Amino acid sequence: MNDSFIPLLQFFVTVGEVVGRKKCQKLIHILQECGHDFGFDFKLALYGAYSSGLQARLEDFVDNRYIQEVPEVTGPAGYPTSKFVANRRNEVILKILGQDKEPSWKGLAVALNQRRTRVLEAASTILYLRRGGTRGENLEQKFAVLKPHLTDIFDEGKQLADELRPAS
Amino acid sequence: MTMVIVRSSFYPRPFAANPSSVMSNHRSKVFRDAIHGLISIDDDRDLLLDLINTPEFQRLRRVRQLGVSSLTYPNAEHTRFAHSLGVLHVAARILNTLRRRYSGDSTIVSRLDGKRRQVKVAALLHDLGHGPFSHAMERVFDSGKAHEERSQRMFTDELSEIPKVLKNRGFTVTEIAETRDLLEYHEVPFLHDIISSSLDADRMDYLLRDSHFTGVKYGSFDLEWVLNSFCLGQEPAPDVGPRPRLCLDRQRGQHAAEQLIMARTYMTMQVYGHGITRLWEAHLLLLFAEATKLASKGDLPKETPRHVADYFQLKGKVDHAQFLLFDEPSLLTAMTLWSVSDSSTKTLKLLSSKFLNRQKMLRFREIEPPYRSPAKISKLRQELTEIIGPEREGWLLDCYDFTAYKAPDEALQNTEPESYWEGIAKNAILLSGGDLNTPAVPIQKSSLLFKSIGSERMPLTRLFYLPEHEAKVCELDNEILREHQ
Repeated sequence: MNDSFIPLLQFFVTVGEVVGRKKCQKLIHILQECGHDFGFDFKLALYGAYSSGLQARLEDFVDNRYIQEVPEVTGPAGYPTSKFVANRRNEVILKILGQDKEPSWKGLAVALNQRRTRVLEAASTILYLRRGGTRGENLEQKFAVLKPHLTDIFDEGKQLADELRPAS
Repeated sequence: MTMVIVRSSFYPRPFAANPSSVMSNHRSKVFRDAIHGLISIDDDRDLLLDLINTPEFQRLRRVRQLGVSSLTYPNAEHTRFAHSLGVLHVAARILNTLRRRYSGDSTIVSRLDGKRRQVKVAALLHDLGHGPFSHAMERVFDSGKAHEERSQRMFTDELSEIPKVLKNRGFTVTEIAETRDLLEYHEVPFLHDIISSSLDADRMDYLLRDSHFTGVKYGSFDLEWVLNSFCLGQEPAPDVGPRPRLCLDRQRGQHAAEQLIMARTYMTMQVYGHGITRLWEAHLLLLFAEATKLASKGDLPKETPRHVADYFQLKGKVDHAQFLLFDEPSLLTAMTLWSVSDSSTKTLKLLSSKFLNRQKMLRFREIEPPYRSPAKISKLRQELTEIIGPEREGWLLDCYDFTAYKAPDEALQNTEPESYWEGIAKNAILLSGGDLNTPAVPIQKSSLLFKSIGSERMPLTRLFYLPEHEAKVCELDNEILREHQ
């Protein structure tokens, strides 16, 4: 039986904190692309792969206080955002549920969380397009049309997507 | 000889001799439809009829739109075949509305004309991958996107007739891939919006069709006025470049959209989430789980049709040819055989027989709101596993969560603008004056109804179980499980 609650709770316990819903979306999508099932369906949207189900789950997590939402302002650009901080009691919940074993994707999740959200967005989009069979020049062209605001980091996103392949 | 003379005098020679005149006397291909009256296939007739005549599309005659709902609403026997024709019809009408409204804009006209065939093909074929009993079958193997992925594969699978027809009718390989991708996204967003969005042709047809055939009248809405209100507007998100989106005319469309969203709400509460329908879906899930368990050990009754046994043994991952055979008559035949076979297990026999004769046997309890938190549901699931056994083997928790309109909370615009606009882009109904240079506005900005029902969630969590587990279920705290009377 697919229960998306436990892996998502493990995710927040593992990474501690994540800056922004958008980053959460990209991290979970990339982890799923690497073969770790969190039980969410993603579609391509404005800023890369997006899951309405995950978005609803995140609101659920805030409402149930599994994560705390802290207002924040991003670096030099000064954009408003939110930081999600995992509640300490999550570890207790996982222990009660017998799910406190370290997940196999821990290292990958922590490493990805260090990357910039824009790069994750680019990599997530590339992985999504590749899954549909888009390759080579066609990939770059499609990316440029779908993500004009990210063309400057296409190579960086592609490099990350290439590095992730062995993990899948 | 005499006959020839009579005919030639009856038909004036210039008319009979002119092939183009003969062609102009071509009868339209029309389907009589309970919802739209006549569905006429005039434009792109040969392409669309060839697709309709493929085994892939004809199979949809054998998959009902609402799965087990006919056990709750006796007339809900309509098929995905009729629904798909309806979606084609609505999509074509949306294209025509836009073509008329923007006839003076050569860029839009060229986009509409250039992609018209692709949009219509995507609309017609969007449901090809549905298994029997529709969404129930996907829940068996927890493969939520299975039908979408299967639908997409049918555009390129070598064994599928679909790519052959498309190639014969002039589609290039790139155009075929682009048509398939329209089901998920498109570089010109309003074309994808026609296929998949809060205003898509799919939703317009299924709400009206399901409302009509279930008899739930307040699931209806004013389709003609919605169609009359379609226009384009600019993507409201500020930083993604100019992207035309499918909108409703701000002056005309708001009330029609409100009626549409209320229709969806009522249909969900009365039909899609109906307690008895969910009970029969749970019944099927337990039955299919038993069949899957037996198939994995090669223990399905020997009378089981080969392609049905393969489907359960391979957990739905069958090839194209096997999938084409897998339909509702096949499963009903299998259930009939299982209900009388001496080599059936007691559970398989009983669940099959009870389903075929609509004899309710599952008990169910609703989970009270304080116990619906995700952690408590997970804990309950563990406890049930401990005292009864694995989920699906005699019991299951059914978590059904519905939001009438999934637009994000307005407060999110100040705290996380990108997430706000992402939610708007994916889920909002957009209003526009029809001007492509002005950002469209999400409907909740001007509609009190959308503001109030916007984010309200309607979660339902039910425990379904076989009667022999009654005592064990009672061991659990009665405060958690409210017995359904």
